[in-house]
Amino acid sequence: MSNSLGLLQSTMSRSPVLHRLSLLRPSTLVPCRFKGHLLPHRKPRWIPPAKSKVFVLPPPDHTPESENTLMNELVVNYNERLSGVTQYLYEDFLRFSDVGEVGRIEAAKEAEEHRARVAENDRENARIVEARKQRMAQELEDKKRRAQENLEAIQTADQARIRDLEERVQRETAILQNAVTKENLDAKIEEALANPVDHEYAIDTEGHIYYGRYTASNDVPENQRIKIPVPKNEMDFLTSDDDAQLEHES
Amino acid sequence: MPGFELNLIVKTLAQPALKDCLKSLTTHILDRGGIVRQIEFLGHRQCPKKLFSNGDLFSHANYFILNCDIQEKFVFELADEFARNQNVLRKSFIEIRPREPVECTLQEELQIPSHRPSVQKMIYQGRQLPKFKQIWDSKTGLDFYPFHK
Repeated sequence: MSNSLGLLQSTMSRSPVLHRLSLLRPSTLVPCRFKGHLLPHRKPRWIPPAKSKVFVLPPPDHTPESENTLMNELVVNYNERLSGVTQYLYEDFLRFSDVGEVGRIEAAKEAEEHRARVAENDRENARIVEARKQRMAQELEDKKRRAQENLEAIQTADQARIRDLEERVQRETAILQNAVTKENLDAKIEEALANPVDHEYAIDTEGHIYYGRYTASNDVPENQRIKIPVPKNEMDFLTSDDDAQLEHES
Repeated sequence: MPGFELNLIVKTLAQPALKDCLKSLTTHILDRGGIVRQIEFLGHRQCPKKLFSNGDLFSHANYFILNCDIQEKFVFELADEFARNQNVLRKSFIEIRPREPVECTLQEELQIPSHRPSVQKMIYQGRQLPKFKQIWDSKTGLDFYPFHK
């Protein structure tokens, strides 16, 4: 029985899966002692002393009584002195810390200074508020003035635009008086067919122009030839329309 | 509504048929809210070349110009209508744009070169930092690169 249990334990310790799955796992098996290397460990509490060491007594203490007494005195003296130093430091802390007398006086001074500074801050804030109010009022005035100016400019531009549009409408209306409608369509077509127009012309190197598609330029007499209108200077040519140039010459 | 110059070439017809044809064409425009400002008849002329239309050759034709305002969405529709008309040999819509105002820059061009705006623009460009830090060096010792294809 012990042999088979040992075999099972050794198998399970080699196979962690089997070990986890096994219901036969004894509670005494703690795989912590030799896992590849020596870990800090001790014998589990439930394992008793080895049978060979059960009756081995601890070695007796042969230290002299005077030495123990001396050691105790040294320890006691040390503790007393250290507690004295601790007490001194504690009292010093109470005296000079924030809650001590000096600390309270300092705190009162600081509080007084703090109050003074807060009051000064409040005064400065009030001054800034007043200045801001004035500035905001000024800015509002400026904004209103600018808005009014913009509004006037827009109104002026609108008026100019409306005036231009009205002029254009009048001009177009005047032109459209002669436009073709369904009522006068027959008359307009007859008129057009009766009056064929001819936009063709020819020019020569002497600055003459001969209107008409079928005009023979050589047959036009010298005194009946028409000169091409020429602008007087370059600026007139650049800044005026063709029609204006013609008017200028004529 | 942009202005259009509608050039029409109508085949040789008797006067009543020509009138009817022109009337139907103009009515198409008027029906679609267009405005016909003027009808110009350039005459019955010999064509520059024989025009082929509907399986026939035409050496003479009537030339018309209609000055009209048409909505742009109707232009293709009207072109389609005119193309279906058997009497119309050719048609073309030419948009009339208002003349752009001419700005005189003669005074600028007459200045000395360093004061000319075009030259000053070039000077400004020349003072800019170079666009690329590393400029390729052919290391041939020549002003040009002789191995370009």
